[in-house]
Amino acid sequence: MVAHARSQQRSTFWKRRRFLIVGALVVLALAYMMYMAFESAATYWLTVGELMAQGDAVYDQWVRVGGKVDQNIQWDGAKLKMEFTITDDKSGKSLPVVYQGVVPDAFQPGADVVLEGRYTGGVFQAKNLMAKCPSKYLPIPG
Amino acid sequence: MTDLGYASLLWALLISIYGAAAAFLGGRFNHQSAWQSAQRSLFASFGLITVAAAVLLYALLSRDFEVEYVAQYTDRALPLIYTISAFYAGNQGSLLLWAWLVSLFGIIFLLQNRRRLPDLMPYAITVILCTQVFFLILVTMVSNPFQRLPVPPPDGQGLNPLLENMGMLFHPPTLYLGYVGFTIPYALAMAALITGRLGDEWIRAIRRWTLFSWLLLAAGNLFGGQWAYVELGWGGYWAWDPVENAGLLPWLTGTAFLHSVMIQRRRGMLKVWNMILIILSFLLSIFGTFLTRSGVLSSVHTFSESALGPFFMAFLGMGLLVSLGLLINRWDDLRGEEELDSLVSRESSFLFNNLILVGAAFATFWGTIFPLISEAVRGVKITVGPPFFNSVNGPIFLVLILIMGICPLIGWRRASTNNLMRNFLYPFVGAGIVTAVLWALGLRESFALIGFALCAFVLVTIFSEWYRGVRARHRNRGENYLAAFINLLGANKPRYGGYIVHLSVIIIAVGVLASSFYKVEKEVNLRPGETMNIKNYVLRFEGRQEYNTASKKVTAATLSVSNGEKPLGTIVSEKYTHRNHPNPVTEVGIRSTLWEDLYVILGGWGQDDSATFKVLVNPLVIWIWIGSVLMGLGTLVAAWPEGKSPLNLPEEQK
Repeated sequence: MVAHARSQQRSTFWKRRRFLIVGALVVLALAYMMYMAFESAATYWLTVGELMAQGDAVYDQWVRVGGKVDQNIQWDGAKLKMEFTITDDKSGKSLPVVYQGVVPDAFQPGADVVLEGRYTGGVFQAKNLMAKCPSKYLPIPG
Repeated sequence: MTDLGYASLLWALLISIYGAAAAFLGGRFNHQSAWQSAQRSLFASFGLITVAAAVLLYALLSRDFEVEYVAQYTDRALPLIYTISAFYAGNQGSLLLWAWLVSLFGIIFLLQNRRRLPDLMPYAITVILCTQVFFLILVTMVSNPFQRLPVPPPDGQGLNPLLENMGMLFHPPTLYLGYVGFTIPYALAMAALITGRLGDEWIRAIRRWTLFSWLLLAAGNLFGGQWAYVELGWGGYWAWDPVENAGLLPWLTGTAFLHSVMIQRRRGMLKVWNMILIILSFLLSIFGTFLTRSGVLSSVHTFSESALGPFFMAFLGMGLLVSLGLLINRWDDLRGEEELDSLVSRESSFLFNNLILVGAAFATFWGTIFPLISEAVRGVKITVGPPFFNSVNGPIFLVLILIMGICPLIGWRRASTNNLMRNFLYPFVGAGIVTAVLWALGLRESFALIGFALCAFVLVTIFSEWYRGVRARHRNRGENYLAAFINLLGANKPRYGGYIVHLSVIIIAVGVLASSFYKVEKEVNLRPGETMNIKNYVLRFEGRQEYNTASKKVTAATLSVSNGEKPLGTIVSEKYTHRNHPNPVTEVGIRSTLWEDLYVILGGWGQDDSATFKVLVNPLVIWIWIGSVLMGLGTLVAAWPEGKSPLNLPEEQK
């Protein structure tokens, strides 16, 4: 009787352990995937002042920069090329930007923009451009 | 008038606080008159919040610009329907809507269950009223919709033109209904923990509420995606924006709950886990409201900082502590009645599905709030963009699809090798054929190929399941095939409704896979008369017109489309400039077929006649919207009331 009960106990223990092992493997796999994806996707999100201060450390690195678009936007329609500068209110520094492509609706002087791209030799080569609405507009979810 | 609105809210707040206390005491000491009084407070507070909502609606409709909210979100030219939608265009109105909905749901839930669950209801109503108190505190103390302006402006600022779209009309309320809906299952779960009545009754009472909330969250997210697709003009429907993720998170945990709860009902297992999932779904719903309302994470549509943050944090923290405390208190009573038998069984496939869904929710949560964490911990803002979410969630969703196919093929408890061989044969063959055909057609991306193969696998599983059931009915009862199919659905609605939802997920997945991997994109500058080629299409820029309507200036570019041989019609792509808003709004030109969307964005135009376009060909996008409709239908089937006969008791099992 006792031996039977014990063996039953042992078998539930093993059953449980099997589940725990497989579960742990799944969790580890997920964690590993997250880690790898994170390593390749993590991007510094800097203000213009911070980008300037970093200097060579971020040269030609993929970064995200936020700032306000200044007046005087140069737009070459035939080449779809746009040149402008963005300024960060806190440090007062400004950054020349080159962007190629169609701009979002909210892009205009005074708008807050977030740029993704590389800083090389005094000019920021923006690949992605996201613009925020300058008006005091509280959003709708979603 | 606004004083009436504000006073109603204050009274509603006081009465809700009283009602929460009375409900709790009524339950604790089995004090009937306290419980009666608590119920009356729920009704009274609902009435008062309704009065406040009516006052705000009246102020909006009558353009009472003395009210700051009205001046901010409407102007005189705003059409009626968007004036109503301005109710939830801002923080104040949205939070008021939350409070009103929670109250309304509380009443419906009370009327459904007060006789059936007399022991649980007082505590459930306590939780609902506490949630209501929280939102009433927000609208009375922090974010008052009836705030007045010292000098009323002659005209309001108008609604953001981006929001003047049919998608935006439905998207926020559906999402809200979903968020608020999760309060009900959570409230009853807490009541079960408090009373220790942890049996089947509370699970049964919330089944339909959970399905309802789950469906509305799905619909809210899909409406949002549809809106982004036609209105934001960047060519896609989902950008892993924090605000989008906010709606996805409770949906993921809710999906996990809907599945694991079947195991609890059938085998009496996973009780703690189910509690955790329902707590998570509720807290993530509140967190989602917080993300969208506080603007703590910068996003495509959230840019304002407000004082809401600390309040939400306090409420979330309290909710978490109380829930966990109650859960730990009942830990021993929640022990499973049975043990899992085999790794290869239906139960364990549910378990893995849960693990992976929660994993997806965790990864999405982590990626969403990482900028906040890194800034707090290291002082630098580090962000992960869509690549992170895609490379984590992409494989996760593929595994989910795989499990979706495998799960119905393996039996409960323990599957025999024989059973596996027989059941897996056709789905494997189906997946193989689809892969071979796609390979022959020239598709080489391994992720997409695997994805399509898995979709085929699941499709064959579902259809052979249906076919077997229909054939059996046809043989045994002599019904014709159509009648047999309908009766089959009717005989076990939860099960076959679930299959319809699975089918819809596959259809959506096919659309997502195709449009993510095989879209073609081109940016061009064209002068009138010039043409461009994209895929099989030839687009000729015919010219640009400008005209004014009552509220906006429209710039419309017309392009004629052909496939090189015969004309396929014209596409008009427009930009609106609204009178009161500096930003132009893109009105994308879309030519939709079952096979692909030709999508034209008017980027800008120069001093000469030339114009810039971004043109995309997005394959199979329409299947995402078709799948969404089917998902709604499937959920309705699953939630449809069962017949009264005891033989028809819901059973999700084989």
